Amino acid sequence: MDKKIEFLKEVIERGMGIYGPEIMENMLKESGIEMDIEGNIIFKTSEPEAMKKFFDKYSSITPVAKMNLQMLAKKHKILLS
Amino acid sequence: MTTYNEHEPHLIRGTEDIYWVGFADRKVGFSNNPYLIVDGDEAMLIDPGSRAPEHYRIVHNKVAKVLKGDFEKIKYMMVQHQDPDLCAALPLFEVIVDPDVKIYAQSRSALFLRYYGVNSEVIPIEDGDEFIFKSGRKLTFITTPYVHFAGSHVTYDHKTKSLFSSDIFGAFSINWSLYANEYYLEAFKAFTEPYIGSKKALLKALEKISKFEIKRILPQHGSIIDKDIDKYLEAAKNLDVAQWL
Repeated sequence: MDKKIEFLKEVIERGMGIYGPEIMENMLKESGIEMDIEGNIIFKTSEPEAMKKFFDKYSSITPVAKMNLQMLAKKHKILLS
Repeated sequence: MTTYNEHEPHLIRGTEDIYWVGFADRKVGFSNNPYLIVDGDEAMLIDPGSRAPEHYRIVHNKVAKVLKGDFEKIKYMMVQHQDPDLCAALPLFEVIVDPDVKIYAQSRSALFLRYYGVNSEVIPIEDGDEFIFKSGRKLTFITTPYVHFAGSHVTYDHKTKSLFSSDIFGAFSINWSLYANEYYLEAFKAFTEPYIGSKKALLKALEKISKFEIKRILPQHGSIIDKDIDKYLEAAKNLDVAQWL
């Protein structure tokens, strides 16, 4: 699996714990990202644009989510813009 | 499903005398969980928490409600490591509880309590030490070095088979509930992966904890776990800790 997608999936999983499903689903929807029932990621806009929008939202609500995002980026060796 | 009002002290389900007297800061996604054991005419306050007025006021008022204002019933306080989110309120409580209050802390944390302005007697504890209430109720202290501090310990209450787990099994969540919900495992990972610095230390702590029959886990942050205990113990073994290296 593309390492960026793997990273995104793990961020979404953690987000379910940090934010709960309702906030996470809204955040994904507003960012143009969908997840099908098999867990596949579908981008409604360009992948970099959707990801940036999602990560910005994810890290803007609480510092603990921002720290979590940074840590997972480090783990997956992803450079956040 | 247990109903509770988070603005009131809560008697932990399945127990007769352990109260949650904490609060959840949903803006940050960080809950603070001091607990109060009331055993006959003696009480122990565990990890009393923050001294920020908006935090201390909540814990103080909840303890007051449980004890009907009789703070002197608190003969003992215990802190499971030296961090301010557990210990900073010690000097505020020590002036209203029993004047002869004893404070229990692992020896490597006990050193630092004076820096909070604590004046009461501090009893340093070591691995396997026991505390016994007048009733005969026994607590066992289990040191958990480097999880996440050299002076960390957890505490097992034999009467209720409850583990006061300090930062182990804590969580970050703005979706907080007092009892762990179906998403708690991920919230637990979000807290634990960056805050525990050594897998070896974590596995050692889990090995020591696993020797006890545990009915509920009462962490200092996050939610109380009283179902699927084995699932959480197993998940903890497989965590990718020290991810902030």
